[in-house]
Amino acid sequence: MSALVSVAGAWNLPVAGVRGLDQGDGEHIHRACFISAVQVGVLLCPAGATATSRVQDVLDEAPFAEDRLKSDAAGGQVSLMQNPTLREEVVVAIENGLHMVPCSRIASSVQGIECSVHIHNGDKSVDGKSVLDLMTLNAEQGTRLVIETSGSEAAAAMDRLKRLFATNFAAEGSSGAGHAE
Amino acid sequence: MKLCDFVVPNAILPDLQVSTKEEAILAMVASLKDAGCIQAADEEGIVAAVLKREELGSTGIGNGVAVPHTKHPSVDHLIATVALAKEGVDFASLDGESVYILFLLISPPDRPGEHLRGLENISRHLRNQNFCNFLRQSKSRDDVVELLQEADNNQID
Repeated sequence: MSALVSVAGAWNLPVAGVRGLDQGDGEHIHRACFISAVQVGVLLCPAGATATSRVQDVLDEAPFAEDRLKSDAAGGQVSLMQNPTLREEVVVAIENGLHMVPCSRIASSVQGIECSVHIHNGDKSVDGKSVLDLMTLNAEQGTRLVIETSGSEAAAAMDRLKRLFATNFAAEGSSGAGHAE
Repeated sequence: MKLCDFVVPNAILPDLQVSTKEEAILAMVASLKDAGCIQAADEEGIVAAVLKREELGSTGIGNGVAVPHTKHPSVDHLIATVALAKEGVDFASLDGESVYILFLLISPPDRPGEHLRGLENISRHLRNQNFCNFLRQSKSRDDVVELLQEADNNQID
């Protein structure tokens, strides 16, 4: 119990769902883990967990780096993908803002990568793999954006995107996208 | 900012019949000249600037849409025209598909914010598949203008 609450706390998870757990009550633990996973999208509950699981068993089998659950309707099981969700804030430094050239570079840099990419500008969130979506961000120079990647290659996608912003979208052999439209 | 704030009605080409990207850009810029929005002396320079921008990467952004554009000192505010190519144009688009809807924008170099808002406005509507479908079905300038007005008024689901 204390270990579970501690880990949940470390990940800033709501712990209400695990209150009252009894270390010997495997079924209760299993259900609590599942609810937590659904609530926060980061907690893994193994498909193979059984009603007799113990707290440590669940913790051992549940790396806290998950953001997606896949429900197998046929089998009624819950399987999980080890896909972290990463978030980073970046600032648009390009003089002309996030116009079509940088939008195209963002989309093309993450095409084919096994992950989802969302970019937030305040309350607006768009698909980072869609040029059309990205151009609706209307992000002028100085705008703070939040990049969110999730999936098995989330880290690789985040690295590429951060590098684009850090280098002001300079392509190899070019002077960058700052003055292009 | 609304579409009808910067799309020039008399420059709209509802039946563009060309086979190449260059021909499409030439026709659209010529249409803006014929509508009196740019001077004849600037026409060649604007075409060259739009084509140079295409060298950085096609503005054919997929889904049958292209948004060729440039910044040019000959205009003092954002202007645009729309062309519909029923047969499709090879625009070297990102998805490899032909382009049927073209928005061409020209904006002053010293107004990047206006340029961004124009792109944002066009992109927001082009995400709407119904808008694209209705646009492709338009047969006249009046049809296109009416559709742009409906889009501006959020009357397209």
